[in-house]
Amino acid sequence: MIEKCSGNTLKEEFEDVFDDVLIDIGPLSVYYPPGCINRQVSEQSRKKKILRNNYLIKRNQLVLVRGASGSGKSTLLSLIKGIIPDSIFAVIEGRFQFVEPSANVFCVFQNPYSQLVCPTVKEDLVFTMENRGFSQRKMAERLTQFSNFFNLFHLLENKTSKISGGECQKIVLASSLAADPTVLLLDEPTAFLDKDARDEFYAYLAKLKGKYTIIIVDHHQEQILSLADQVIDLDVGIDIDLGKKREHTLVSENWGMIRGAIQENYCICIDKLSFSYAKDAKTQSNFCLKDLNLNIESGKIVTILGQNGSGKSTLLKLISGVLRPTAGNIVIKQGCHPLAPKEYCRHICYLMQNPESHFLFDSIAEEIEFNYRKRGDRSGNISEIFGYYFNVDIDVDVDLSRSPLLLSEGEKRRLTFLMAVLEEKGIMLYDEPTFGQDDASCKKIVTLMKKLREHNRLQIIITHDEKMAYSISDIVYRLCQGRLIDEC
Amino acid sequence: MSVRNDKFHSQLILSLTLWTLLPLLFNQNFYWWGPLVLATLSLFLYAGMRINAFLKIIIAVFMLSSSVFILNLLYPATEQSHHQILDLALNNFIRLFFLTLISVSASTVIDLEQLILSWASSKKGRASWQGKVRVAYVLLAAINAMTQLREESERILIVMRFRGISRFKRFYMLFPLLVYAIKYSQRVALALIARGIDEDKSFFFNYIPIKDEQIAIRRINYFLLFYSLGWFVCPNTLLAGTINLCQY
Repeated sequence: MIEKCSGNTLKEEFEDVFDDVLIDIGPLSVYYPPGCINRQVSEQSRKKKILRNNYLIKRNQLVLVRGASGSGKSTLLSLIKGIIPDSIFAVIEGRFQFVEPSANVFCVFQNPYSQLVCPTVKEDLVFTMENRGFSQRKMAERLTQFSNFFNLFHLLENKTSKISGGECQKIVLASSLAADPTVLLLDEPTAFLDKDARDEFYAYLAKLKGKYTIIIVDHHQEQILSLADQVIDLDVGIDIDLGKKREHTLVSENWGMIRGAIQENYCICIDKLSFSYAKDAKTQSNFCLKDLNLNIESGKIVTILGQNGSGKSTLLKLISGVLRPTAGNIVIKQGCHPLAPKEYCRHICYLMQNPESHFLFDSIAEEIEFNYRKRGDRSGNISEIFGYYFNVDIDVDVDLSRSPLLLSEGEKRRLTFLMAVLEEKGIMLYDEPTFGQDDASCKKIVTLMKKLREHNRLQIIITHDEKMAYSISDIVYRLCQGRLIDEC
Repeated sequence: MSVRNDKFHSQLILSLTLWTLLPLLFNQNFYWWGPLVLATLSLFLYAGMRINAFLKIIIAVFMLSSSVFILNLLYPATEQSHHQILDLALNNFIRLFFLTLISVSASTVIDLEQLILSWASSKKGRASWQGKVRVAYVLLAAINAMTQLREESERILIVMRFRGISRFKRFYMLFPLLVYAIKYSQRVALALIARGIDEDKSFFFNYIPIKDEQIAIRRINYFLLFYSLGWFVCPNTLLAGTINLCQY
């Protein structure tokens, strides 16, 4: 349901001037009425204003949508695609007009894992073309062209259930582009890509510029800004009912939250570590990690960079004791005493790539409370604790009774960060900590990591964000062909 | 363009399996269904079933059937003699053993995805039932979801371990897993919409069985139909049933 708040759209008013306008959007707010999605939202029933100004998106423009995480970027893309209100019911108030409703609009979502529907990679690559009814010959040509461009030839016969996140993202992108879209909506398409693949993608985007209408949400603004014809700035989450600006409160700069330094020194010693997923691996060619040596002590931040599928997450799993090495040793010492592998989980905090897996309870309050009270020496009302730590009036700004799964991807990541900090463990392992974060949130996370370093935490980060890596790390390694290369 | 190099199309293997299971279910004469079972199992091995997997299935199926055999011996009908009890238990054991062996072995050589896609791409029923392609792709997504669910359950177990949740409470992982399943299904549905799923879509690969296989499937299906009707008319023997049907 779209209500127009003003009589004529801009397009109607200036028909002759804006002949090539495809989408006309004005001040817009989204409202989930009671009874939709779930009770928690309906109780909240807030209108969220996502746009304040008027925008005209012309044909074949490259438009960057930017805004803080949780400001409604994905909502705007869903609106353009028609998912809202056709598939997800919501009331949209404001101006929105799609001049060519029958246009081929394809969308690539943020989470790559749930977008592949076919059994093999090559079947998935042609899936979008099949939906458009392309001829066999055209599909064959484009399959070769796009698998070549995205370097997917070696994956064509693979099962889609056995490929990495970055590869998933590439496949959905290639599949959508091959289908010759009128409008292509990209929701953080480079989030799971390594630097090389990201650079390649931006180079390709530059080639596509002027051929398709592309609306992209991307936090790597340095690269994308030079390509964009227009930038749509979303409001920083203005709650109309409250008329108050919502700030990112999940990771605040009130670092009084970290109670004192960790007294014990930890040390991770990795000696000639090799690992293979194959049970009967005998030759080094089958190993994804080969003869790694590494020594890290408390108070240090070590970052490991590397391409998609280079074994970074595997290394973290080995350090955390989730996987056992095929050869070599990992020893974690608390002071002078080596810890037994079964004790690791009491000293290590492991933040996995997918934040949703961390949530075990119904509400944000329960998630925080569980980690907070686990230490045993803590008391008090969770609202007070949250208010104290974040210096905000939680009744207004954060609805703690809300399910953590209803937060935006960026907010989910920040919540897992907060949960990790409250556990007060000596070793912290992060897998893509800044994924889905805007610049402001990234800075806050970096500040938090620096504070944690001051408090004697041993931190290992795995990331594709090289800028962040070099800005905070004591040592940066690159994992290349199973071996660690010292970068600085 | 063909996508798979399997020796037999899954639709043919499914028909053959049903053809073998039917006499096993309705006929007690080993000499009638024994050769059929052996032929079908040989076909499965030829179609690509691994010997190791086959031996593992035999062990598991043997254990299951043995438990039924023991139960039959321990709890017989009161008016039966010892000879009758042993006879019945042995008969049930053999039939259950082969029934399960054929079913489980078939599941290792039948490609569900190929079955679904061949059903979706066949033009039969596409005009009358507009949801056919959508249903097929939702089924495919459900098969894909099994891997995702397994990985998610592993992740949840890791999180529980690191958050200090005791082993006895790990049963609660079912709830986040259920939530994940619902969220996953919602995302897949949106992805299908976002990638423009269409009932009139074309298919780049050919999933439909080749002509010879189609003829074989049709013949097997006719046989199954006659057999079922024959058994229904005269349930004593397969032969009598078929003759009865012919006379009728």
